[in-house]
Amino acid sequence: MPNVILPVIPENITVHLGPPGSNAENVTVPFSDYIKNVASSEIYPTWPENALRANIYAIISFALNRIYTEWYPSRGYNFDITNSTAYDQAFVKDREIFENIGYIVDDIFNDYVVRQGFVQPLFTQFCNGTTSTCNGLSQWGTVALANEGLTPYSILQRYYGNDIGIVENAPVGFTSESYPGTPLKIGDSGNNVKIIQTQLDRISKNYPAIPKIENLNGIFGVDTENSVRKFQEIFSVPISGQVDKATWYEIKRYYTGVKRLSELVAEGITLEEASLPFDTVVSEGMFGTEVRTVQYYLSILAYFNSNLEPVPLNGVFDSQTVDAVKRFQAFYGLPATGIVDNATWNMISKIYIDTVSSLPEGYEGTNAKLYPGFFLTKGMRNDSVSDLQKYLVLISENINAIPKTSVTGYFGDLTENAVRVFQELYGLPISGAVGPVTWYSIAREYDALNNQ
Amino acid sequence: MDNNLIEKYKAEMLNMRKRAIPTPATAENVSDGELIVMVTAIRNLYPIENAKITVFKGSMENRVKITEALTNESGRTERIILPAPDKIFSETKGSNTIPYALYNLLVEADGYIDNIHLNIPIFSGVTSIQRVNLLQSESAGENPPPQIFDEFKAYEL
Repeated sequence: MPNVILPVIPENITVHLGPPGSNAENVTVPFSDYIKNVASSEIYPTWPENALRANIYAIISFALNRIYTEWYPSRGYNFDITNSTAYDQAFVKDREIFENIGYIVDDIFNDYVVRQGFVQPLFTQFCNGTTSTCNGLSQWGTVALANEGLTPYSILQRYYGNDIGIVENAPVGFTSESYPGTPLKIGDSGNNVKIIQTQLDRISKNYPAIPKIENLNGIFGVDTENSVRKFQEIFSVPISGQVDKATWYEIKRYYTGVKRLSELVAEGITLEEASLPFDTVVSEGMFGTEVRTVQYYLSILAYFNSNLEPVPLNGVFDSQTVDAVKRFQAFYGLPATGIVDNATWNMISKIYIDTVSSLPEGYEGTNAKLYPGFFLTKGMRNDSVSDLQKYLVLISENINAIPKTSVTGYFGDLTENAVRVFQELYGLPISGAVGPVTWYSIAREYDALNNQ
Repeated sequence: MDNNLIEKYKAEMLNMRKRAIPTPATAENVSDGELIVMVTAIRNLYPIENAKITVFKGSMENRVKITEALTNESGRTERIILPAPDKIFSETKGSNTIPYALYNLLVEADGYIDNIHLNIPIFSGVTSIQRVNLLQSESAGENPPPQIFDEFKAYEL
């Protein structure tokens, strides 16, 4: 019996904003946001609840089918689905979503329809039922059936046959911590409660309206309930004070987003000390350190600016990298050639430094800040030197070999010496200067010690 | 979508639009929907307090202000009440009246590029939630123009 791969709900989905062959942009969004967007674009929010649910099951299953069968990638495309209603389902980038539809999606985003006995999410075609009819769900038809009292499952059976099933609570890709199945509520205790408390505590650093939980001790008391309520209010989840499925995954989603930046930064650690701009022109077909550096900086910038597209740090200047470079060039008013020439390098460097220096106070939470974008060397006096010294001080308190410095803001002999010792201990080129690699190695040590 | 019917679908859509000139809702058949705006930076990591939201109709140059709101420390506005056509128009297939009302938003915050969201549909009895992600003005060059998002989509169901 061959190994069967079970469908997993993906963290993100990449949508092509046009018919498959067209020269349109791709946008990558979280899966449940995609479903909320499609549902808000395809159906009216005033319809009866059972009609909404039946339609949303079909929307979810359709998308999961495309992903599971790798329909578009297997045809050479670099996206999962399109927003052309002739081929797939409607998606309007950056639109508003309807609150009640959002609530339903949060409740069933990891449920999908299958043909009984089959693993694959069912290819649940649908059409509007007025100007088009098809071999699948009729959107207007569901309204009539819901008004007759049919359940969502019965409505789906009407269009897809009696031999369908609904898989519930499929595993989700963005967290290994699956919803336990019953809501966490006041009076409960245990490891899950402790994890949720810790994560809410981290989120409250950026959302101060969420009250601090006095004791992160794994006991769900009144203060935990109050924090949960406030979180639910801010993130548009039904306000129950209990950590139900919708709340559980919304907390995980947000927390994953917070960690994403530090993961991205960690990927950059193995870059050679690279300061922009390079002398070489970097373009399609090339591979190596310069390519990886381009990919790294573009991905960091894409994190902060959702108009840009992140790109895997594989060191190969492929078509996805070309597209990401073009997006960057178009946004910043450069000719969109997809070639990283001197002008493009300069712009990447400038925007990176601008972005980092203008980040809101406290964006980094308790972690180290991003590399400021320029080498720190002896003789400099600035805030980034102060930050560097702060990290070195904590590290020197834990690692005797690193000499003590103090936070003066001036990069003098003592600081340079501490940097050299650190570089020698960690196998880095011993320059006494702090470029991206040394910075991130120091930052990683600092984060590890600071978050114990 | 059933590929066999795509061309027929497209032709019928075109004819429908030509034939039926939908009537906007009149005073007798209006009730209310709601809008909440949530403004953040760095995707949704960081809420923006005191962002000014202006709800308006018409173009940016000739805009008619409907109402204003400010975001709180979590980046959220209060529920903004806005008139919308009666529910009945969205519950009946083939209704000749547009079942939603369209509004535009201007979002302004110190240190960030303005965002304009056009054609946000509001339905009677339904809350619309518009997430707005702002970009810092310093990282976008000199005098950056506003980011414009047009949500207009043919809602012919």
